[in-house]
Amino acid sequence: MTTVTDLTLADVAVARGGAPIVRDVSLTVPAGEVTVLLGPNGAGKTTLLEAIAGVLPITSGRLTGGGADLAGLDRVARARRGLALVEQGRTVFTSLTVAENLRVVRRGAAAVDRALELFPELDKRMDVQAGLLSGGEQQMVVLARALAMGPSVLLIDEMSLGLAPVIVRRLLPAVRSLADDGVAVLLVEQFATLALGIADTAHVLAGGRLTHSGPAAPLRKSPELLHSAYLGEAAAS
Amino acid sequence: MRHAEAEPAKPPGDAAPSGPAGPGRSRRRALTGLLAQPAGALLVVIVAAITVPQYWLFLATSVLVSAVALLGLGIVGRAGMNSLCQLSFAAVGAWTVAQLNVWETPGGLIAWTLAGGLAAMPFGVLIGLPALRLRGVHLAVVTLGFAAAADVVISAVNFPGVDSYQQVLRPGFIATDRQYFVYAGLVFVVAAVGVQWLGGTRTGAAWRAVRFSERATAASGTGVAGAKLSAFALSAFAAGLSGGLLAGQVGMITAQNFGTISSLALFVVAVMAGGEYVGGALLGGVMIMFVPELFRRAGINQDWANVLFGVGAVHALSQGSSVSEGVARRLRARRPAAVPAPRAPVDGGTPPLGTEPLLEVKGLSVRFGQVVALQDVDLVVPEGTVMGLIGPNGAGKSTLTDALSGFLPSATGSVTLAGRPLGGLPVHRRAAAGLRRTFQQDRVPTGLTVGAYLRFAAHRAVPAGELAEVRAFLGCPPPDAHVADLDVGSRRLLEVAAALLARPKLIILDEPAAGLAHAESLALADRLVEVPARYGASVLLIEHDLDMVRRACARVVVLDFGQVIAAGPPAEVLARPEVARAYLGDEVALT
Amino acid sequence: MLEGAIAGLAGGGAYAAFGLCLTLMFRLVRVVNFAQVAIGVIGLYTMAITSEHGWPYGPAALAGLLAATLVAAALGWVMGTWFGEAGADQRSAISIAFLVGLLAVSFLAFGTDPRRMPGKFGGSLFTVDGITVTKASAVCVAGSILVAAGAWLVLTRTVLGLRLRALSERPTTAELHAIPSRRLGVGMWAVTGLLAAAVLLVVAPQQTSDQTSLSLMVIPAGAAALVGGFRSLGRTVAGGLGLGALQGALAHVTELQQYRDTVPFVAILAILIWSQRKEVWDAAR
Repeated sequence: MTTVTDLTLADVAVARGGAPIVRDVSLTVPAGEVTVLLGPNGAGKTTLLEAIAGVLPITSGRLTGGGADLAGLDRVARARRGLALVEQGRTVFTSLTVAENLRVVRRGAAAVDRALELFPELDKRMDVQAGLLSGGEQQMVVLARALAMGPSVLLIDEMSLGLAPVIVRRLLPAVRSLADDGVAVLLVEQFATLALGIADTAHVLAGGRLTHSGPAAPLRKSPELLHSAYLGEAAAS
Repeated sequence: MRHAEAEPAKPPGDAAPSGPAGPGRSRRRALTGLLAQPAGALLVVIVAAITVPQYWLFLATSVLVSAVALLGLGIVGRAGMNSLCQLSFAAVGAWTVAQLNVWETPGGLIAWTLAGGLAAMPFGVLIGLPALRLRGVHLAVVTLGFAAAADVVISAVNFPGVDSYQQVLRPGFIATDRQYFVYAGLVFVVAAVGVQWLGGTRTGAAWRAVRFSERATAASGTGVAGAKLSAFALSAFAAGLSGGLLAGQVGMITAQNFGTISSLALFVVAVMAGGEYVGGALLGGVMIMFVPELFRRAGINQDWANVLFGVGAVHALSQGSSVSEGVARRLRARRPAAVPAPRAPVDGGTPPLGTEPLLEVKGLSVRFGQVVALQDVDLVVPEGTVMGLIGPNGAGKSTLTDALSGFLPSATGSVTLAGRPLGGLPVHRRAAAGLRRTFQQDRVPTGLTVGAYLRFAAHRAVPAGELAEVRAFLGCPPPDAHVADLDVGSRRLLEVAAALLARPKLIILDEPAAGLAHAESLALADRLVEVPARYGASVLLIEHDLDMVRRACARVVVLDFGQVIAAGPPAEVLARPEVARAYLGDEVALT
Repeated sequence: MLEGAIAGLAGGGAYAAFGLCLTLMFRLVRVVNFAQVAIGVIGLYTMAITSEHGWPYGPAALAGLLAATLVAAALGWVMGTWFGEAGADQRSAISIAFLVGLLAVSFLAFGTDPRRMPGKFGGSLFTVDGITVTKASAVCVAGSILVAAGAWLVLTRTVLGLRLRALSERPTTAELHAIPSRRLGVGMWAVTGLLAAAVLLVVAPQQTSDQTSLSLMVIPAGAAALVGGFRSLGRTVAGGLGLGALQGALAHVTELQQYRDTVPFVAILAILIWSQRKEVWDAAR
């Protein structure tokens, strides 16, 4: 079983419930880099991540990872090859305790320990049912659970949603250091300026198409460029 | 009218008005469409009665008997409920006929059969009562339990007349099997026309709406209990008719005619053939009777029939549609409904600032266990205005909507609408009192056409012109488009249109622009500004899109952690630092 | 009365065990499996046929258990492959189709003639005060309690149990974490199929029932599962045993004797209306 080390999308289109949501998306997510995907609500960012992870099928185009075609693999097979998606919306297993949430993925205690280093808050909560945690704590569990898989490609949908700023500030460098260790990271994030701070490459998705692709640095330095890429025509009104 | 199958026939006086043909012609077409098919079916029955050999004719009569029972299953199916005891209801009908026959009650078989149908109805209501609280799987367990219990009871006690070898008497004009076949055909056609007609009424739309969402059904002013019970009662009525027909056909009935497994097989066939469609019910009847017979003639064990039905039902469910629904969908795909172009923003003017208080909320609190979702919320929505309600995720906006519309009976505090206290009123009564809401999730029932949905949700007789006017105002698809074929954005607009058509005093819109493109959201905002003047309703708009809120609202209220933290004109409120912190969130705090 | 109630415990133990199967299936693979007992019937009749062909009881019983396990696994595969994303309602409707089909298959394969069912659990275990406790009663009661305890241990103490619970709660999320839903689902079907056949091997030789009435034991089993709200294993066992005892006791009341099989329905109704009295709406929001 080959490990998925990076991602390449070529002219990918994705539909949800029969309606086309994402069209003609071509991008790469190289190992060792943070790629950030920005865009307004409803642009299709979540849909694209779900298609990469195998939750939704790709209607056309090619999706390859580590040189191999991923389209024929279901989501379980993709996960086993090292692809991890952190879904939006605090998807903890509510009836399991925090410890059980981490144990259920079972990729060795070392990965779990490393994940917990990032979230010392969880240490005291290990035997609490995840459903009883606050929203922010649940988000930490979800992130730690993905890290416990020891992924080689990490897709994160709205990581900062519901997290206190102080935690977000701690997390972003952690994501950066994951990438520095060789993980390919694709980050969807509503706080554009923050995400750009750790990203190598940025793509902007609007209305289901990529409206901007390039290095992150120029966008970081020029809010006007970001604004026009982000909001498109809507910025005018 | 090849569409009459897919689309419930409209009542003649209420026909679709739009289209180039003009109201008169299309009404005539609808009328002939409604009558042409039954007339054709009856013609087929009469020709068959003359030409088909006696033996096959007996089987064909049985087909019609089963088809009537399947029509009934289709009714509960429309309402999204599974009934596994249809033959137990049929047994009640047969029993009634046998008993009236033994008593030699005047009126004869036809009146007895009707009485059988009526006698089954209370049993339907009885089984429907648990359906008010139970749904899905639990309800299926109840109906199966009832089927088995009824099986036990009728096996233990013989049908009336069986011990004395008393055949059920047929009147002279349907005495022969050929005549009885025509009679059975007539009963089926009448039942089918009845079911089709009901499907086009608001009651029929309510069944489909209940199937899709009970909350949305109640919120559009229709009681869920009534819809479910009427579905079960009418389903049992059809089953009772079918039992009565069977009693007249075979003369002497036994418990074996109504076994539990036969009820299950009937359900399975309904799933496969599609009991919700008249054609499906007929097809199901044909399969139940002819498949075993054909196997028998081919020297194959008849039990293969049930294997086939089981496999067929699994196949149908894996395709997501019964045979009939597949056909209907394919027919529809040949004539796709035109989707109107998205509307461009047209400045609707300045949002009107109302004066008189319309909705007054005092000290509204909601707790979920330990969590306080809303705390002492005071809120006034004036008459004739558009007011915004904003706040971060989890602030309690949707909880407030649920509490106002009556979904949270545990809420404390007082709510009055135009001076009338709403406390204690159930959801559909609040809707009737003039408070309408839409849902964040897509809650427009698939399985209805745009026109049928709008008429249903309006909850009053809507003149065709008014329907067209509201559709044009918001840019909704034509009335004959099927909701199932629409994108999410169009469905959201449709939900708003339905709320407007109900002519409420207050409309609460819960994120109506989710699923709309930004420009369309702004266009919707412009329309909302006009709503108070055009439709006499105030709007409470819950929305994340601040551009839209600024454009549409004269005032905004900000909710955070279940409390009102600010209220006033949008520009002023949004400029306040505490609002920026709460709503715009940490972006501001972080950078 | 008491003697009847004790005699009814054999059936009650069976209801409890089947009810456990239903509860586990509903909790873990989102289906009320109306075909649960029918799967066991296939195993039971395989045993009967093979022993008629001269097989000793042991191998015949094993053949029966194997047959039921394979049938269940095949149905589980169908469910996982074509209805992996479907909700509990639809999956349960499919299990009704399975029931109707399986019963017909059973008639085709084994005929409709009554069969002699060899069994190892006939006769009485002991007699106290004139009240006889049969072996079948003892095995069923003890067996259902053991199964409940075993299932509870697996669910709470093993990673397999954690994965099953994770899967039942959030199938998509579980799959995204490399938890193989389809394989685990087929496994659940196979194990409960095996269990259903085992229960029938114990109780069926004591009764004179045909395939249909055995398969419809799923109704009292459903009533037992409802006592536990399709969640609690302990209350499911209690419900099954109570229902069996009640039926057994009613068998000794002459006026009600022939209606005692309506007890499950009345019980179902009472339990449901009580347990769901606050469940007003179809969705949380």
